Amino acid sequence: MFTDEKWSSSKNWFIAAVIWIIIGMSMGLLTAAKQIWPDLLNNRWTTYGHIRSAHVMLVIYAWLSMAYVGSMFYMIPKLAKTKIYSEKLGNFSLVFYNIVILEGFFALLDGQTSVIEYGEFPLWVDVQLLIAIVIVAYNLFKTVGQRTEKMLYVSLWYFLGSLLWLPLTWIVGNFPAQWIPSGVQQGLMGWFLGHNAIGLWMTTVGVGQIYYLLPKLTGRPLYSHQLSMIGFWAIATFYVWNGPHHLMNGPIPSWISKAGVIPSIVLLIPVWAVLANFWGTMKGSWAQTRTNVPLRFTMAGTIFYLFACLQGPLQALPSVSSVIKFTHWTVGHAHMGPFGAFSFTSFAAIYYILPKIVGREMFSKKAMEAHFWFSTVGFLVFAFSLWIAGVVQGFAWIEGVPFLQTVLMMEPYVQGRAIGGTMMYVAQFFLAWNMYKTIKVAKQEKKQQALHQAVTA
Amino acid sequence: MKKENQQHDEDRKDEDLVSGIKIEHNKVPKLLVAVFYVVAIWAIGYAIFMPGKLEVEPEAAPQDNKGELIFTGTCLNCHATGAAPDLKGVTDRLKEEDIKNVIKNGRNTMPAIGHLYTDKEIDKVYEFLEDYR
Ligand code: HEC
Repeated sequence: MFTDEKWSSSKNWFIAAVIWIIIGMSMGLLTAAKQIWPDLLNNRWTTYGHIRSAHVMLVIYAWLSMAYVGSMFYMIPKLAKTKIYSEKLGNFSLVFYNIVILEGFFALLDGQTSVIEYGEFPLWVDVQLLIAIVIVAYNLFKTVGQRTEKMLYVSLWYFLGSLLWLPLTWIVGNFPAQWIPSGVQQGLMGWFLGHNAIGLWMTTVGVGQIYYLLPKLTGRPLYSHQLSMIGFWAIATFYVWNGPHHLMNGPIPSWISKAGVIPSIVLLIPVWAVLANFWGTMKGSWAQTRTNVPLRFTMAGTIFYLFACLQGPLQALPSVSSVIKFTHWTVGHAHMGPFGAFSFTSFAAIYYILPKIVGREMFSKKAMEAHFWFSTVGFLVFAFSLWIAGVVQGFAWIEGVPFLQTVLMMEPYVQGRAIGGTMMYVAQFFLAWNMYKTIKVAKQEKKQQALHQAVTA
Repeated sequence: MKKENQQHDEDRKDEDLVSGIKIEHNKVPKLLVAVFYVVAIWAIGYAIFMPGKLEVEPEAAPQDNKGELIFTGTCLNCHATGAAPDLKGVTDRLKEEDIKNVIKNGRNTMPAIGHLYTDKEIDKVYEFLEDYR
């Protein structure tokens, strides 16, 4: 039933991922549109609350996670110098994972939610998704187990770490948090998942991707082994404590508050170490970004990563938090990591890996360029609208401007966000179309070749 | 798998070759080391000396402006936006009893919000409305 064709699982995870980015981002665009026209599609299924949480869950656990798994199904066997432990199991886990995501999607539209940000799916979906994740992790760990390369390249540390951390944070964030009755503890448990889904899954797999892609795309050696070590162990040590900064100035004990602020700032160490390593590797290769779109996506991703990680630690400070908390600012920030940094590296991974799998280069270079520019410019318009909005909003609240008036003040920014968001959304159609064409043409070419060989033989 | 660097290059440290990817052993840039130390020292200092939360100053005086606080904090959310009638000089138009009644029990599209306040607070709001024009 499930094929064990070489690289099929990697390819299929990518295809599913790209279908989900379109669905997930259309939910996001609808959310943005509802802030302009609040009565738009106001029915039982698509109220604001349902759509917003569906958007968040789909882009993270459907699009980004599937793109990550797709990359790992290619990069891990390559780095381990072996083949995937089981392509069949890989394809099975893909189907299973997608069924679970569909269930979660409809559960959210139906109004079922566990009200944990980044963990909104109800319990019955959480359990199944955990099983799906564990199957994927099992397959990939087995692959590393049968490796013929003795040393583990740094990407592998990140991938294997992430494959352990994701199920762990998923368990801590989703299960006890639904049983603990009262607010503050629940909030802390929930944010353990919320921030570690970002830090010990999205960030770490993304960084692993970059470590793989950079030397391959530039042909240059990785700059420093020591920096890789510092970056990896520092993030593995400090990241788990970032959750409390989401409850800054809230009713949490002040030692927990401090225990959230300090690691947030200390994160500057792994982030800068990793970036120094990337940019050291890039030395002398920056000119290539002009023509090499995957490399440009990767480098733009690292730059957005830097900015996200300059904002993040600052936002954790109680004084800064008191201005921007609950404003549009946070939304702008929250998109920079998952979209600006790590969707970009995943786009690069797709553009690098897919041609290798199907045996032909991407169908259209122009579409890749369009994908890059629409994504980048769209994101900048989107993000700056929200950042300006957030600062205006934050200070207006402090000034005591009546709340509804502050809502009305947001009109132009909310419109700006929707325009940027539309561009980000349109960009993904270039990706989807290009992928579709590449795979189709590659198939035709293979057929023709086979025919040609049969005739000449 | 360590591999001696074939082309002997003075500047370049020995490279490892892992999974076909070369890894150099450049030193950590000095600036970065400095940043690491600054961050570490800051972290220890913050842990020892800072409260970890924003300190909220207790209200200086007992709240004799309670009426105004309630009015700007709650009523203006509707009454300053065109969603509800302007309340400037409302005490000329309506009797004290009627106004308090609207606040307590609501009227048409204005919700009842009496349960949020004590009678004394509602008196304060009324006093404020008398001067609000
Ligand atoms: C949720 C929105 C909302 C809030 C909050 C609100 N009101 Fe109103 N208020 C209204 C609306 C709407 C009306 C008009 C009702 C009608 O059409 O009969 C109204 C009417 C009134 C009237 C009658 C005005 C007239 O000219 O007849 C008074 C007095 C009044 N409100 C006082 C207050 C006070 C005092 C507060 C704060 C304690 C307050 N309201 C809070 C929505 C609100």
